This record gives sequence, C-alpha cells and structure tokens, in this order.
Amino acid sequence: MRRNTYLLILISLLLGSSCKKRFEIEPEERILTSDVFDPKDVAGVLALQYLYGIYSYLPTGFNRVGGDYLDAGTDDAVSSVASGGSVNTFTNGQLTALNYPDNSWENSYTMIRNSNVFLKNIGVVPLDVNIKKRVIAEARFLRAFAYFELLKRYGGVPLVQDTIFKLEDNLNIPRNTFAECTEYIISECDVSAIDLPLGSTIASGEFGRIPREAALALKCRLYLYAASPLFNGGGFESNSQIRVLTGYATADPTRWQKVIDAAKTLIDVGFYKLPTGSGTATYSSVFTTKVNTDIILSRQSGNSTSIETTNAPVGYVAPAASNGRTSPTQNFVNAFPNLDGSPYTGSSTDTNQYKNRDPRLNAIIFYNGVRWLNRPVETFEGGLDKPNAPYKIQTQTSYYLRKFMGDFTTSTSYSNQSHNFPYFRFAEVLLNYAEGLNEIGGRTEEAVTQLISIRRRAGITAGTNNRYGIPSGISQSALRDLIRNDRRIELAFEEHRFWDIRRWKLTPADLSTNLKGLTIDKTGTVFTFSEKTIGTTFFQEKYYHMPIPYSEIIKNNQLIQNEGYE
Amino acid sequence: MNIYFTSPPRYLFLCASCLALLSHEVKAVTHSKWALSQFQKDLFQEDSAANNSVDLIYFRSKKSTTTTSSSVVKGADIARTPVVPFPLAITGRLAGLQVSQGSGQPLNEGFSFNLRGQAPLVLIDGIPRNLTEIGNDEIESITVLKDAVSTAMLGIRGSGGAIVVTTKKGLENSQQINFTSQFGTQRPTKNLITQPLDSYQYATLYNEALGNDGLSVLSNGFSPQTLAGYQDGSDPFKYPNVNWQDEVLRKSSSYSRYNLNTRGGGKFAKYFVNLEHTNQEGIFKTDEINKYNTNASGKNYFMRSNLDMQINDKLSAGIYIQGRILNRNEPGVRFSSNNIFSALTNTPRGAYPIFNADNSYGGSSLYQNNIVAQSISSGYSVFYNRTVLSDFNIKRTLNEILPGLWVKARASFFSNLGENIVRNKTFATFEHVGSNPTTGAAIYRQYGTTSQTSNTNFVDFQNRSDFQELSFGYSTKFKKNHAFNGLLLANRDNLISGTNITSNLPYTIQGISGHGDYNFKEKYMFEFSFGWNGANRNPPDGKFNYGFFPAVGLGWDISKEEFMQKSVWINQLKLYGSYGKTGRDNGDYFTYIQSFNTTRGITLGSTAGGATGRVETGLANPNTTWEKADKLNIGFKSAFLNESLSFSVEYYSNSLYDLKITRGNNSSLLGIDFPTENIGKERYRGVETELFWSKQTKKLGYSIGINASFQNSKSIFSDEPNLKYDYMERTGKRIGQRFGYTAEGLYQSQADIDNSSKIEGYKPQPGDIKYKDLNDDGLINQFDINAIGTTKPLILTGMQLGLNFKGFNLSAFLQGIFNREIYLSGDSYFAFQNSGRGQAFEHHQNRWTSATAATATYPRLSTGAGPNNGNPNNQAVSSFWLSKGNYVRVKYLEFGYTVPGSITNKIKLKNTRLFINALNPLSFNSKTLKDVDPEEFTGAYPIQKVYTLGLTIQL
Repeated sequence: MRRNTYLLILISLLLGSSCKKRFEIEPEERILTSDVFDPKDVAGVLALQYLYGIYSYLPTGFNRVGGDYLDAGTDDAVSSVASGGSVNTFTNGQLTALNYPDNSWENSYTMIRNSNVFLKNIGVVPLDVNIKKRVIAEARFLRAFAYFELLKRYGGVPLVQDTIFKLEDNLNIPRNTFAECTEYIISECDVSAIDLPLGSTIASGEFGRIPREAALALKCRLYLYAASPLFNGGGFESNSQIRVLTGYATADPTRWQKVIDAAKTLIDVGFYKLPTGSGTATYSSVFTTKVNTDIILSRQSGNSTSIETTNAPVGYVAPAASNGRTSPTQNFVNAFPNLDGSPYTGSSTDTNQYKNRDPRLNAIIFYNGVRWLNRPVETFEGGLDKPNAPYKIQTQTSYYLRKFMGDFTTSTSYSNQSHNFPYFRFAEVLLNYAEGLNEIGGRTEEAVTQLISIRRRAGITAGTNNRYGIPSGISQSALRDLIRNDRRIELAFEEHRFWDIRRWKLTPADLSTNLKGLTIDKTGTVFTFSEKTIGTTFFQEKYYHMPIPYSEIIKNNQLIQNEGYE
Repeated sequence: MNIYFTSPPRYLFLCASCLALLSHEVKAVTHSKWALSQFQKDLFQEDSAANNSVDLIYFRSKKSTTTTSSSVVKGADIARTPVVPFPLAITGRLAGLQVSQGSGQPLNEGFSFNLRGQAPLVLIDGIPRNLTEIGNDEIESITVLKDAVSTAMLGIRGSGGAIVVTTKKGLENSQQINFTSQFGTQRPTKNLITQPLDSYQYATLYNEALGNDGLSVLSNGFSPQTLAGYQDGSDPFKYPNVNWQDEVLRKSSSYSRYNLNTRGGGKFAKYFVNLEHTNQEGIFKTDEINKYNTNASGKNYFMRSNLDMQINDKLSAGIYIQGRILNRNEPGVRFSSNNIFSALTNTPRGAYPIFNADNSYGGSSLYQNNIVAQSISSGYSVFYNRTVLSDFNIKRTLNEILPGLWVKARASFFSNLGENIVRNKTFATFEHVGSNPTTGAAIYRQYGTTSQTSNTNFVDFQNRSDFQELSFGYSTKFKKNHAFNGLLLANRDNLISGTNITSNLPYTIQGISGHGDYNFKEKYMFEFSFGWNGANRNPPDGKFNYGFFPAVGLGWDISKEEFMQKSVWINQLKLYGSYGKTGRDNGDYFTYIQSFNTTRGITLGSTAGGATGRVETGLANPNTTWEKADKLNIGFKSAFLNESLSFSVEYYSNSLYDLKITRGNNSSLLGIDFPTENIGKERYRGVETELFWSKQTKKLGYSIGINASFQNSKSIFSDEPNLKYDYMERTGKRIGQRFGYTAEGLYQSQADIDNSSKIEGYKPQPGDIKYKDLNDDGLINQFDINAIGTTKPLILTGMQLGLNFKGFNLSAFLQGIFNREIYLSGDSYFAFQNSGRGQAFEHHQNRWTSATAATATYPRLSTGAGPNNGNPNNQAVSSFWLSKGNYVRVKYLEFGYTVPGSITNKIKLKNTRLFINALNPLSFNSKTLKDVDPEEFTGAYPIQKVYTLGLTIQL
C-alpha cells in the first residue's frame, strides 16, 4: 500500500515537472519585422533584401502574358499557339472583367504595400545616411512604377498613400481621378529623383538597381501618355464620372511641353545615349549586352537560353527543342521601311521583299531562308520549322520572333545569353522627345533631328540629303506617322505598341484589321508566297482601357468599373 | 502441432518462430467443450460483456444508460476483410460515417472520412493516433462518437467527432491460439467511364475537332496517309495502335494475409499477442530482366502485445506495445504510380510504338516518357514506414479511502519514421524521324538519357509523440436505485513532427477533462462532460490558451417505467439527447507571428548574380484561435423481443462557428494575402437510423441490419462579396454546393444561336452548350452562374445480412449512397485535353455533328485551340456535366464452414473454419457509372475487387 502511494506521488511529480521543460516557446528561426528592420544592423542586410523583394514584383516582360508577349495582343504578332493563348483575348473581342490576362492589380498593390512597409520601418535601421536616402528613393520609385502599371491599364485607381492596411481596416476605397494619380506619380518621381544615384555612378555589382534617370524616364513616359489624345480630354465615356477616372476632363495641348521638358532633362544628363555604331548587330546587341548606355532600367535575370528555346523556330532542337511561341505578322513586316528610309511599297508576296530593308528587320524577325544555327529557317509548308504535324505549335504567319536573342547564325547550339527585359531605354526617350516636339507644333525639324538619331543607329542609309529618308519640309501629320512607325519598329515587343495604339486613340475602325501571314510553298528550289488572313482584330471603344478585375469590383463597393465592362 | 495448409516458405519461418515462442503455452491448452463454444461466441457472435457497453474515449459506459450518440462495429466482423487500412473495412457499417476511397494502390489508398460532415479524430486505446493501418485481428471494436457529450472531453480536438479503436485484450480463464491464413486475387475495377479509342478513330475525331476549331487539317491534323496507316495497321512502328492499359497493367494480382495470435490469461495476467502480415501485389506488369520488384506493392508487418496484470487485489497495470512496418514499393521514384496512370489516361494509342523497329523504346517530342519504360525501366523506390507504439498504465483502487474510487496513470510513447529509398533510373526514348537519303538507314531522334541506377535515401517524415495522463474515477451505487460514475483526468499530448528539411516545435495539447453520469434505476439518466484544454502555437505568445467545452446529456428509458413492466417483450425504449460545445484547433504553426521569407530573389549586377529577396509570409492574424461547434443530438433507441429486434433514430444539428476561413471580401488593396480568420459559420443537420433483426434457432440463424443517414448542411456566413443577384450567393446553400451555368442542351444551328442570349467573350458554334440566361439581360456571363445540381440531402446507407445453418454461415455487407452527384470532367472524360494531346474515349463517338444533332450527348469536339475553340464555353462548369452518382455496392461477402468439433477434436484442434470472401464483388450504379467503379472513375489506380480463400485454426 505504502509503496503504491509513493509510486503515485512519483508519477504525479513526473507529470508535473515535465510541463516546465519547454525550451523554446515560439520558433526562434522565424524572421520577424525587428530582424528585417534591425536597429543594430549598420549594413541593413535584411532590410536591403526586403527592398530586393519589392524589385521581384516588377513585371517580367518576356512571354509574360500567358506565355506570350503582350505585343502578340496587337497587330504586330499573334501567338503561335493556335488561338489558345490568353493574349488572344485582346484581339478577338472577348476581353471581359473575368478573363483579362494581364491584370496587374494584385501585383501592383503588393508592390505598393511592400514599399510602404519599407518606408515606414527603414527609419530604425542605422544605415549610412546616403545609403538610406537612396533606398528610400528606390522604394518610392518602385511604388510610383506600380501606380503607373495600374494607371496605364485602368486609369485612376485608389491611391493608398503611405497606408499599410491592417485586417480591421475598411478596404472599400474609391478610385482617384486620372489627374490625381498622375500628379501623385510625378511628384513621387520628382522626390525620388533627388536621392537616386546617377546611372553613371551605379557600381557594376549593383547594376539593375534604379538610377536617377529611370525616375526621369518614368516621368517622361507618364507625361507622354497624359498628353496623348486618349487621356488628354479624349475620353470616350458617356459617364462624366468615369471620364475623369480614365483621363483628363479637358484637353490641353500644352501638356506636350512637359514631355519635351522631361525628355530634355534626361538627355541633358548625358550619360545615357545611343551606343555608337549602326545596323542590325548594333541594334541587336542592345538587348544582349547587359550594360550599355541605351538601357536605363531593365528586369535583370540570369544568363540563359530561355528566350531562344521559347521563341526560336520549332525545327531547332539543339540543345533543347525550340518552341516558336511568337508569330510576327506580315502587317508588321510591311511596316519596316526600305534601307533608304522610304516606306516599303512592294508586295507582301514578293520573295525578295526582305532585301534592302531597314536592318532592324533582321534583328527582329525570322523569315524563310534566313540562317540560324547553321541552316536556313524553313517556314515553307512541310519545312522543318512548319512541319504541319498534329499537336505541333508552329508559326501561323511564316515568321518567328528573333528580337532579344543572341546571334546564333553560324553556331551549332545555343549558349547562355544576357536577357534583360528593358523598362526604359534611351531610344524611347528620344522618340518621346520627337513626338512631343512634333505635337507641340512649330518644332517639326527638331523632331526630325531626334528621329534621325534613331534611324542612323538602325542602319538606315543617310541619303544624299542626309535626312535618312525623311522628306524635306515634312508636315506635322506626315512626321507623326513616321514617328509612330519608327516607334513601332524600334520598340517592338517591349510592351509599347499595345499602349501606344490606345493612347493615340486610333479609331476602332483603324484598330480592327485583318492580320496577315504568308503561305510559302516550295517546289523544287522555288518558293511561292501567297498571303493569307490569319485573323481579325476586333476593337471597340471600351478596349481603350482595361477592365478592373471582377473579383476586385465585388469586394470593394466604392470601386467603379470602366465603361463597357460592367 | 501441424499446420494444414500450404504457405509460401518465406512466411513459414515467421510462423514457426512465433509458435516456438508460444509453445509452452500451447501445452497448457485444454480442449474442453466450453472453450469451443467460447471461441464460437468470440468469433461469430458478439461477446455479451462487450455487447452491453460502449467504448467512449476515456472509459466504457453501459449501453443502456448512456445518452451519447455512437455506433459500433466489432473487430470480428471486419477482421477477414482483405484491406489494410481499417477505415476501408468499416465503410458504410457505421451510421453517419462515410469513408471515400480515391485509389486502389496499396498503402496509398487516398481515403477520407466524413462523420456528420466533419473529419473525425482517430483514437487507439484512448489516445489520439494518426494511424489508420493496424493489424485487422488487433481490433476488438471500432466505435464512432458523434455528439457533444461523448467528445467534449477532447476539448479543442472534439468537433470532428471521434473514431475509437479498441484493441483486443487478454481474457481471463481462457487460452486461445488462432491462426488465420488467407490468400487470393485482386482484380481491378474499371477506372474509366468509357475506354480510349483506337488510333484510327482517335485521329478521325481529331481531324473533325480541328475543323470545328477553324484550324487547318492540312497544317495541324493527321494526313490521309497517316489515317490509312492507322486503319490498316500494317506498319505498327510508324502507325502504332497500342492498348497501353493492356501493356502495363495486370488483369489480376495476388493478396495474402497471415495472422497468428494468442489470447488468454489467468488470475495474475491476461495477454493478447498478435502477429500479422499482409502482402498486396501491385497492378503493374513486371519484367524478368529486373532483379528487383518494380511493382506497386505493399507489404506490412504488425506486431502487438497487450498485457494486463493484476499485481495485487488493489493494483493493476497494463503494457500495450505495437510495432508496425509498412513497405510500399513503386516503379521509379515516389508516387510514380500516379504518373503512370496519368500517362495512361492522357496518351493516345497512336502516340508512339512501345518499341521501335530497332527494339529501342519509342517516344516522340510530345510524348517522351514511354509508359512501358516508366513501369519497368525506371528502377524502383521503397517507402518504409516504421512505427513503435507503447502504452503503459497502472491503476490503483482506493477503496480504503472511498469505496469505488480509483486512480490511474497512463503514459505512452509513439515513434514513427517514414523513409524513402530511391533507386530509380532514367531511360531514353527514340523517335523515327526519317531515313538517310543515301544509305536508307533509319534516323532516330533521342529524348532523355539512360542513366545508372541512383541510390538516394531520405527521411520523408518523423513523428514522435508522448502522452501522459492521470485520472481519478469513482463509481458508486447508493440507496439501491442511484448509480453514479465519475471521472476526472488531466492529460498532455505532445507531438513532434518534421521532415528531412525542417523540424517543427512540438504541438502540445494539455488540459483537464471530466465526466459524470448518474442514473436512477437505469430509468432517468443524466450525464455531463467537459474538456478544459488548450494548445500552444496560439496568440499572443505561443503559450497555452485554454478553452472550456462543456456538454450535458439527459435520458429516459420508458421501458423501465412501472407501467411498462408488463410488456416483457419490450427491452428498451430510450429517449435521450445531449447538447454541448466542442472545439477544433488545427495546429496552425504560429500564424499569428508576422514573419518573412526569402522566396522572391532577384538577379543583380553586371555578372548576373543572385540577390536574396525577402517578403512577408502572408499577413499574420493576431487573433487566430480554435474553431467551435455547438452540437445538439436527440435520439430514440428501442429493443424488443429479447433484443432480437432493435430500432433507433437520431437527429442532430451542429452549428459550427469561428471557422477559420479566408474572408470572401479579400480585396487585393490590402497588398498581401489575407490570413484565415475565425469568421465562418456552417450548420450540419441530419437524421440517422438503424434497424436490426435477428433470429437464432438451434440450427438456423439469420440477421439483418440496416442503417441510413441523411446529411444536410448549410453555409451560414462566409463573408461573401457584394453579388449582384441573390442566386449567386453561397450563403444559405449546402456546404460544397456546386455552382455553374445551367445548361439547356446544345445549339442545333446558327439560327438557334442567333435567337439565344449572347455569350460574353465567346462566339458559339452549333454543337456548343447553350446556357440559361438567368437574369434575362441577353448576355451569358458571370451573372448567370447559380447553384446547380441537387439540393437534396446526401443519403448514406449500409445493410448487413447474416445467415447460418449448422456449420455454414454466409454474411454480406452492402453499402449505398444516394442523392450523390458526380461531375464529369478532366483528362479522363473530356476529349483532347492537355493542349489537344490528350485522349479521346468511346463516349466521344456520340459527339455533336450536324448529322448526329438529335442524339448527341457530347458537345462538338474541340482540340482546345483555334479561332472557334469550344472548350472555354463547353468546359465551363455547368449542369451539362452533372450526372447521378448513386450506387449500391456489395462491399463484402463471406461464406464459411466450421468443421464440426467431432472431427477437429480428433486432431487436437479446438476449431477449424474455412471461408471464402470477396471485397467489392459487385456494384449497382446510376447509368453513367454502369460497369465502372463508382468511387474511382477518373483513371487513377483502380480500386480492387479482392477474392480470398482462408482458413482459421484454433488450438
């Protein structure tokens, strides 16, 4: 009996004591806010990592929209995936608030929140004062960039300022107007530009971080958009409440002056310029040379063969099968001027049409017969690159996209290349400048000078009058067409045309076009070209702006949908 | 002694050595007639002591006086069922519990529980265990506990209800040695609604689909030459037509189970020792070239020793130890079996030949993984799951302090290791792409490479748990008519789990629980129980938060009233009910702490170096806590004619609240993922009923038992966003209610399309599914989605039949589900999935074309591409694809013969029984599922029909 009592007491003691032996109550390996924003870390290691975390939400660019380039949603190209790609919703008239494939709503507000978290907490980190100013400026730029991503898609969106929302906060927040958002982004660019380092001073190990000129370039592009017909009082909406959300209420042609000023400021800094040289190789190398003075800011990624394997013609298998994802259209090919800068007026079915053209053609397009990996591209019916086999993804137009790839004309297999998607290029600033100068009126020749710089680098011949194919005494409207066409070519597949054709407010009739491709038949050694329509783009006024995702509209009772998508 | 059957030699040593160990006890066996009848009672009828009580979580209660809701199945009823996880043996046997099975792969059966709409906690011998595989013969009984008063003691683990497994313990004054050997064959059920088409039919339909899509057959289709090749089959290398199922899968595979156990005891000690082995062969064909097993088989070893000792008249102790080894073999790497079945569903018969003309594996750029090579040329992997479980208890009566008082201490340790040994290899496939123009030699393109067999080993998971408990109990009867039982206990369950990468901090649940029941003459009953416990990992600081979960029960047995005493044929007329609060903590890992991870790195610098990027891991919820449920249960139980007829019915209404859900209004303006919040509310209601009738004469006996349960549920609150129309709301509908478009047949013509509402974002073609315009705005879009399919309660039924005549007996168990709907979709039902590369099946012959318009049952075919791609419209969730999924399955059949004692006694055996049984032999299904397995019809590892022949010997 007594023994048993002792035993029970012993067991009770064991049970009792075991409860006290907790070594670790909360997981110590967790990284907390106080670790990321560490008041003792002079180097701010984790704080910088948090800043890089915000960078990671910048758009990826290449093959970004359901595996396709955003530009495959314009008249420049189609997805080789036979209308299966989501990018086709931009051209087939089926875009709705539920299927918008390029919705950046969540991504942008994530960038905005993370920037705000950074800005709120970075104060406690004992960084060197200049470094701290710089990282704050970077976070503010990234936040402004995120707002611009929203603005160009939807027009004005809710401006949350520095708010970091908590669970209990009211998230029924109305949209700010286009004017308010524009003003906010501009002021953020101005503020961040002060503390951002000049591009010339960015250390090579930090290449890819934001230079001051990027803030200037963002400002320049925003001013360009704001001055353009769609946003500059050109709203199509019947509802005036929506019209001020998606653009300025009234037109003001002097808005072009701001584009000119912003471009001039950037150009005058002098570090960024068109790299020397001209022609196909010079143009191509802008995209495969990681550091060059044309690239102001680009998405950094590890060297790889990803662009080649994703987009090169499908017949190449070394080392891995190429997937030929993008089929540029004949419409786009026809936009390339002749070598002397004059517009191409020949036939689409001319087998010699690729000769004596703008040298950028060879940098951007694969066409039948051009050499690649040591053999000619075969996009004729039954050729290696258009095998006409079941399931096979293959070109729909006889063309494949070549831009952004390394030069593998005579190689036997791919090697890793630098592939950085450009957000801001000096060439764009020049084209913005040219457009501003032309639109403001009375400064047409200054605009011509800018366009000539672009054309000279492209490798267009100067001509006897040294005007690179631009007629003397060219009118404002004729130059407008030229600038727009050069913008189309120079900035192709860099996510400009999709927005440009909208901000120019080209009419729905202009934007509803037949997309053309070629059928190439080979008989013996003779090729015959015939043109075919591979699709038609459907455009309605509502597509000038993108639909706010339905899932957001129903969760925020203050959020007004853009007209036509209700 | 001799064993009168043949058994594979490798098991003999096991049996022999076990027998050697037990030989001294064998000698002690007395072959009395009493023992024989006792055996029969144990095996074929229900033990009367067990029959009168119900195993609750920490104690046993008398069936007649409990107010809880529970159902029981006896181990003897299921022991011979040829399955390894016990839940598969109890499917349908317990009212209110549904066990669904998703695969037939040994040790990867993918089953899930549904007990009154919730997932119950499994307890083995009163301790929560995440174990579903134990030896069949270890099981004394399995009880499900469904109401609050029976589960409140579990506190924050009580909401789901409980499945209580009680293992066999020793028997006083008895001595048994039982040996069972069972072997047989497993045959796959059909796992596809219809079979894949042959190459020619496939290619013909593919070309038709291309035409429908507005794509060029010339550019993207099968050429006339290829079609002709498929049709005449003269060149199987160039134009293959491979029945992949036949090439890779067996028609049958073996099953065996061996069990040896001994059970008995004396005054001092009682014991139950059980050794069990099952061996399930997998379904894949193997090749002699491999010196190792590539089949998806499962081999299990279970060992248990339950020892109870009466140390003196006051002190007793128990030691219960289980060891378990589960070995799952598979071709290739872990879970490759799933990949093979996925490939079988997705690979057209004409995709590539098994072997090329040069005997290399065939393949193509789109189908690089030759299925035959996947099954026999990928090496193998073994998943070893090893468990040791040991429970100890010591109990002391304290009658000297207060008669009826006792104290008991329990401690348990559990260790579980899952280890993967991967010895896989890769293989190359080759596609014939042309011939050398000069020599004419075939040119092959290679995909993949052939590698050496790898040798890797990693720990998949490690679980350890320790459990301690101290309890005080008290039972008394006073003034003759009053009976009281009370129990108060404190326990602590400490679980540590981890993988090869991380090891989490322990998840500990501790607290105090209590129970008391009182009855007056077994006529009026009152019962209460409570749990006051909590878990760590909760805000604000990870320390314990305790919740209080009380429940009460009341009962009244009318038959015990004086005015009923004359009606001797009535044994029980009990009205009872309970109400209480239960909780559920899902063990979320410190989600209240705002933490950061490094999942988003970037590239920086002119040499493209990586830079770590850091982001928040979702938003922390500082107020997260456990979920709760208020449960009401009202029942009526009756028994008549000396309990040969019984009937019971129960109604329950469970209100679940504080459910952890992501709010519906999770606006992205927050800028970060919303955490789960305790805001959800749901309600589950239902009725369960059981009827039992049995009759036993000297020679003939029969019994019939039926159970049925009706389950309904309702979403009360989920913070739904602002929806334009009421019919779009899920609130008020069943939990899991399917939402979609309402189909109105197929468009028959362009005129039909022109006269119908426009489909937003889509240009319909004749043969597309037409949807109902619910809001009559002339547009089919998200505002035309509403609840589709049945709103009737799910009905689960089970029926058991028993018949015995002299030494023969027959038992059957049927399981049925009604008001079940299935949604037909995916790779195993739609045509040309996976970017057009998927299969086409026989039912696609019945697709819409202008010729078959009137009779078509499938929309026009589409390859999922092209300007007229039909999939966005036709594969949108709609009532078109809903089908009745009712079934009645003959789950288990057994026919046995007990050799008369007059014969067996001569060879010194107490008892010998021969039996044959069948698992899943038959199923009567709704039309769509005709001939198909009603549970797994999506092309996964088929559920097996198992037929075995067995012998049980008792010494």
